[in-house]
Amino acid sequence: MDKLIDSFLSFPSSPNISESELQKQIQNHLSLLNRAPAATLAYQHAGTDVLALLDPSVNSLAYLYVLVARIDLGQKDAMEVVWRQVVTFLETFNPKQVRCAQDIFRRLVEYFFSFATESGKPIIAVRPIKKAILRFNPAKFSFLHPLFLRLCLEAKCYRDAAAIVDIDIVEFPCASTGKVVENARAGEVTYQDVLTYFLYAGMIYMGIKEWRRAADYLTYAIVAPGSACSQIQIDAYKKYILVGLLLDGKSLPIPRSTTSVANRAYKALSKPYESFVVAFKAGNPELLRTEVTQLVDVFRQDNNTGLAIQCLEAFRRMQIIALRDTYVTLSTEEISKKDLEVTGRGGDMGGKEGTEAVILGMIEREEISASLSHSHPNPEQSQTTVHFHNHPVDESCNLAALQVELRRIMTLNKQMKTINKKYGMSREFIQYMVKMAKMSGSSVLAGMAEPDLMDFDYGFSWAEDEPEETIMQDFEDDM
Amino acid sequence: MRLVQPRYRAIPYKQIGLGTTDRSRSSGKHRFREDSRDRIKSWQETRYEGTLVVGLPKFDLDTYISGYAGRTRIDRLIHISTHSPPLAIEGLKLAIKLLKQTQDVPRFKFALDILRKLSPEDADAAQDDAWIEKTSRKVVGDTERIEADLKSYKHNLIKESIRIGHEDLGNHLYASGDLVGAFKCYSRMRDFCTTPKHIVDMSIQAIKVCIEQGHYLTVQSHVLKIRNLARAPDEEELLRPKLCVVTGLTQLANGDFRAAARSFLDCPPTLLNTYNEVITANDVATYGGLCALASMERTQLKTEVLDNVEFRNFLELEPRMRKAISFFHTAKYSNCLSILEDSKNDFLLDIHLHKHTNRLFELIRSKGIVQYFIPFSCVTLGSMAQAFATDERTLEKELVMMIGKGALDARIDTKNRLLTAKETNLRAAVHRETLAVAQNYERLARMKLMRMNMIRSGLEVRGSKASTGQVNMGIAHGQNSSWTGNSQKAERNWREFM
Repeated sequence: MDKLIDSFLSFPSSPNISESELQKQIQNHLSLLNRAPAATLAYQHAGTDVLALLDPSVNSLAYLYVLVARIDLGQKDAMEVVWRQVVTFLETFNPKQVRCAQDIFRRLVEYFFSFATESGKPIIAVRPIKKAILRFNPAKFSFLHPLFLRLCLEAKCYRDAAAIVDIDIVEFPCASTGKVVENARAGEVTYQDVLTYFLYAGMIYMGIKEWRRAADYLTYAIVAPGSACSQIQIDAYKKYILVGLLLDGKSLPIPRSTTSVANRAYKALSKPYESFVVAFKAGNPELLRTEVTQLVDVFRQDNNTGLAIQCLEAFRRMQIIALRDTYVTLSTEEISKKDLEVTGRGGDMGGKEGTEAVILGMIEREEISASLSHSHPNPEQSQTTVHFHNHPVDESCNLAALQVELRRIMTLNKQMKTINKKYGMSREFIQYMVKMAKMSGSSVLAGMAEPDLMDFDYGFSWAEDEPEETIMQDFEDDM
Repeated sequence: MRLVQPRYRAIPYKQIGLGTTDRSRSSGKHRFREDSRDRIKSWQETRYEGTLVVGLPKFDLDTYISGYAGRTRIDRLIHISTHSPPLAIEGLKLAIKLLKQTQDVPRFKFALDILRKLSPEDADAAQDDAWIEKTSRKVVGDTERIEADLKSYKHNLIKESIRIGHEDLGNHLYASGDLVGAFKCYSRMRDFCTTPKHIVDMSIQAIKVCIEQGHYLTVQSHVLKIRNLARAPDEEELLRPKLCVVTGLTQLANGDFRAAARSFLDCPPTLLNTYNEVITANDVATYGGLCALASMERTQLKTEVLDNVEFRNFLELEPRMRKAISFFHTAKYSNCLSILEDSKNDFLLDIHLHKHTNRLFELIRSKGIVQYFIPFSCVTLGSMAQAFATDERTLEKELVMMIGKGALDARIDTKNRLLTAKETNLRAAVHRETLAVAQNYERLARMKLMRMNMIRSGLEVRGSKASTGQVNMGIAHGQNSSWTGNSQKAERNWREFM
């Protein structure tokens, strides 16, 4: 055993060795660890703890194996004992080493995860896993991602999750090809993982009321490629409809890239939601109320009650915003007469004061630009009038946003160009082109046979000299 | 309007029980024009639908009906009788008198029935069995005779005779009230037409039958048929008015008022009384004027309607319509609207207009409001209500509706009772729009990239047939051999992108 510990400590031989040397050492080390029986690894020396001797940031692999061995042997109670060490490990491990032992690492994380959820305190696992994700390249998809989001949803730590989800979006194009490699190592990432990740990410953003981002993530799930439609996609679509209502009062269209199978499934399975949208858009509170009473069970079954209630709250706000287009001034009494309160909570919410409070809140949150005025100092006789201002001219604001958007699109274009190049040189694309050339005639084939791949026109164009407008056009009619 | 079970109300609104014998009357393929409703509606229902005409129309029934010829007189009389209580009895009596001169037994029975329901004691309401018997026998006999003739023509294979034989049968069936049969006969003539003139004749006949049945799609196709034929100029002159009004009627029935207005305005004044079995010159003026009012700008009204030399001939027949249009042109909307309101009953009792009257009035009104508001940036609701002869409350409701539909670009100031024009800031709007386009672009690009990457990673959604094991195997395979094994699948994916 002492010999084993010595070899643990002697790896890696020095902190600054070359990449290839390190890989070789890791492989050797791994074979040693794999040969060692779990009982030996988990064995506690009298007085000295192996884990205390090892440094998780340097001897990550050995640390990992010992931890897993102990948990394997000790079962549930062991987790409680080694909890501290696991947390330290997750926060400080060396990603280069751990990446070579994904399966063991995954087992550790899953133990950790199930312990946290089963003990009813998912929140304690949030921070360590978040740090673990950040230690790897967070823009790469890994099995940690859906796991982590699930944890956050259970613990309601939306902000923590948002930090990760935000990163993912910004850097996803770079991470894309990395994902393949990641899969190779993790070995067990399935489309379900990806879809749940998108769905969870959407739900995280719903939690912090970032409807636009939520819709984006749900879109990713909705347009997922394939020859079938997953239940996860259908759930995503249902939420997508409700999020669309919250976003701007109408249902977002199904993106054109959606597979026809999925498209059909969405249409067939979301009928109740469609009728809800119709009632919502009609702007008739009475209609919406009857619709809701019929749909309560549907929403409850799909676990969308919370979203639906938010839709109903938004209904009144949106109707009030719509009044801006028709009126310059309107008394709150008139507004409350329109009977826009549809949440059915009763009380004074629908009355004059309730309406006034809602409008006040909207003005404070800058949802509308308006002012309230009382006609009389005595609140008993006072008539409150809402004065809707003209659409504020926020030119500087818009221009700044445009600048930001411009920069984002420019980076996106650059990313696309690299991807284009990468894909254009991939084996299957070239095979495809050759096949196409064969079909269309030998003349193209002659050109194709040119070995100089760098000069090759990849066929689909996000090329440099392409004016941006044409690219825009491709996308414009999609949404 | 096959009578299955008419529930009808007598003049003193009192429900009269109905027999069930009515079914016999709907026997066979006999159909009446008017519409496809299965039964006559009681006045109460008609009133509920807003098509019951309260009060007297401006016209005199006798003069009005003498302008028409043929079947349409009876159609119009029956329409009036079923929509206007005060004129019902008079109209029906007139219709029965006219029907007695024809051989249209089913409709005679029908008219008689309504009259009996309305005033059972009336002398004219007595069932004239002798006439019915005599006429029915005559109709049956004639039908048999003509059919026999037709058969012998067919035997001889002389095209012209067969064509005429079909036409005769068609005319006979038309006269005896079998419109469907008549239309079939006219359609069969098509194969035996040898000259363009024959086709024109046939189409004109078919159009007439179709208009009476309300089959405007067929009317349209026949109009096209005629238009596509080469014709001599003098023939063209003769046909044009008919084609214009027929097209106009079709467009009116489809609710396309602008096109209908154009068609009626194009109609040459040579129409005169040549097409009385469908429409009179007065009708052209009324339909054309109303459609134009509902669909044209003020300047257009001046140049295309009032200054239209050809249409002026029609307008002179309807001085009220002319006045209304010129009032609208000179922006005296309340005068224009009050004239139209006065004649509303006339329109409602017209078989072609009655379905569209309310819609037309609504359009004219809201167009008036829009035109009225154009020169103002701000106007008090009071003065506006005065200009349109309503009170502020109804006006406000109307305005809210129009703004909601996007017809009027204005906002209401309820506190100061004002209507103010919206200020638009084009620059800001362009900025907003650009930003939206850019964001949309970025979003879509990311979405497509995400999708591409998923395909590339083999993360496609698979059906339950492909077990998860296979999925994983696919991935593992892809990693080891760097995709060579997956080339087929990948190739499909590429095709998906292209």
